[in-house]
Amino acid sequence: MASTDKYFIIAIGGTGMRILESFTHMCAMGMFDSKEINVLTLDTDQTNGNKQRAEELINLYNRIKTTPGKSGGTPNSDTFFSAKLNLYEFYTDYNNSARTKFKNITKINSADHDNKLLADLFLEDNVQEFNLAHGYRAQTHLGSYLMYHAIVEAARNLQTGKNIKAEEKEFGEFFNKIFDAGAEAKIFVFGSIFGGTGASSIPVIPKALNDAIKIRDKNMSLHKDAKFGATLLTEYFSFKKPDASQKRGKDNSVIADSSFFTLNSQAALQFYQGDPTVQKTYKKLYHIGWPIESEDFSRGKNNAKTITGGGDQKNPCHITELLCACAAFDFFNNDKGMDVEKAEYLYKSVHYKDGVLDFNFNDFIGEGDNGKLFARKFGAFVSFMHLAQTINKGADGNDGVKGLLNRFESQKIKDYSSIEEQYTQDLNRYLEYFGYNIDNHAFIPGWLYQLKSTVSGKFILDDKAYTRNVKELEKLDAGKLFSEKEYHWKTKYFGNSYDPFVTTLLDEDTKPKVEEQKVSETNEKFLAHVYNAIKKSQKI
Amino acid sequence: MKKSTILMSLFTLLSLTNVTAASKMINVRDVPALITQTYIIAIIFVLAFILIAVIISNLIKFEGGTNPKDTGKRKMWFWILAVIAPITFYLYNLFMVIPNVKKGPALSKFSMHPPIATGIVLVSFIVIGFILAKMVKSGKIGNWFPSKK
Repeated sequence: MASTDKYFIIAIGGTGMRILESFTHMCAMGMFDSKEINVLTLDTDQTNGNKQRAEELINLYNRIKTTPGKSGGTPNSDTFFSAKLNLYEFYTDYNNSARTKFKNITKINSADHDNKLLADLFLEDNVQEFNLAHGYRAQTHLGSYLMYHAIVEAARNLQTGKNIKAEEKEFGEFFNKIFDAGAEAKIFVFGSIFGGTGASSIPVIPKALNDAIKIRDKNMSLHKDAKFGATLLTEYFSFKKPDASQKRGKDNSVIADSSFFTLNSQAALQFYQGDPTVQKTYKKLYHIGWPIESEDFSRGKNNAKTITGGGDQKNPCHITELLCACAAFDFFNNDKGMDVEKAEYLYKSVHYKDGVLDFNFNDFIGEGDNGKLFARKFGAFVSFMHLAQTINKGADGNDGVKGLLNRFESQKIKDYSSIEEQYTQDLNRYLEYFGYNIDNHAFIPGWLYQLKSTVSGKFILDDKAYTRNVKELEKLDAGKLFSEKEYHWKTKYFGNSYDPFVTTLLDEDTKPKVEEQKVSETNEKFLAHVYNAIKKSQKI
Repeated sequence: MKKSTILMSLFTLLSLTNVTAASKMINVRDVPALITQTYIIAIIFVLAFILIAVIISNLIKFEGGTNPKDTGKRKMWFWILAVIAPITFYLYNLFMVIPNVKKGPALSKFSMHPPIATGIVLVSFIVIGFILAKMVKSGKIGNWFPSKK
């Protein structure tokens, strides 16, 4: 990893957004120390529930990091929330009545004989007619064409300077940053290859970005040494099959059918293996798949129809998405194989026996030092979540982070007295997204518990660390999350590890190190202080 | 537990000393030595009770939640011991020392000192407690006294 590298993430479609959630949580754990990462959310569906959730999460992350006079804060080192994230949003405009379907956008009619024939050759009539507001509905041949068109159109609008939409302006800022980064740009694309928007966009993104930059200025182009990476994520979820009545109208004449996802994945992989443009433009492509039964997103829901998109598409997170985010970690931190002429295809396997997959901390970003790093950061953030949500009762609607701050106050440490209630509430909210909360005696799983529910075997920590039983949670020890006893925090007398942890928190040597950890503001110091105490306690 | 055992041994030793003393009544000539001994025992009482307060404070675990009770418990135990220490010392003198002093000039010469030493136990306990709380203000014994807002 060159220290001058500039990092970019492009998250595309519903799956891309969920991977972005995992990526954001990895940033919160402190996996991307000292990095500033520019993130673009790219979707056809502005109202998509997963997109809104991912953007809300990043906005929350940035509010937690914001320091006086610096929105979104600055990169820190060896602490929680250490990466700085700059969020940009771009979506294609398919809600305008003149742009709801292929036929409207292209303005093809029978008088335009040649173009009509060409369109009919590649696209069936119902594909030309369905409503695009909820995405490309697994029609990647149409999607690639339209996504390229949307990006180029945005660049043209930016060039003319007339009627520039807010999302086009943000997109312009994002690709200007890629251009400015030149050879130091590392761009990683999140999306699936079996669905609609992500699958349509991954192959065309490098070319579309390059062409967009050229439209802004014909003398400009994407630097030849800018590096692209992406995940080749094959099918891992399914949903209710659409019935004939839902497909009756023209708008819904095409609806993605998850029973074809395996076939889609197979076709896509053949394409990625054979397409010279993809092989030339991407440096690393990470194969990620799910070899056991797909997660059924419709299970437990009483939806009469297949959800095609919109606010209702708020699917739970899956461990494959975390693995995709880990691929970004490898791409950003590992320069090996970046000088290849042809894309390198990467994969790794995990322990599998009798239909059960087990994941330990060596299965995510590598073994050895990387495995330890993952264990330390992941374990520390889960412990932090439990300290605030479980032990300080944040999950019950109390201000759990305030509970930790009150402890500093009661022990006469006044360094964090100026932290405002809005900050503690934002941090609590983030930890709810990450972990869990209790609503009306019901357990509401966040990202961590959603991931665990997709793994029937071991998921890094001891199974007891994932209990959803409220009574068991009351007794949960935030210092005994790992199965490995050597990583347990020390305990005193017959009690749990909270008392010794607070003593560690009050030690001089766990105070934030301003220079070393690059923390100068009160909120940054508070997080660094808690992180240091957890790191010292867990001994990983 | 070890500290508590040491403390118990200390009290037993003190009692034995007085039992030995009780075998012969203290006359007026021995009163100055008894007065000195009383003040020394007062200091031992203060130190012993401070030690008990420290042990109890450390045994009370840090609690979670937005309204933890542990700091209040430590403060409460400190003030309970601040009351118990002088009372115990006074009762010790009343039942273990004064009955061994000969009535008359010896007793009248000595009788002023147990109440004074009791006052010293109270004041010293609070003063030493305050100094310790300020010295280790972020520790558990820092909870004995409130801090400035």
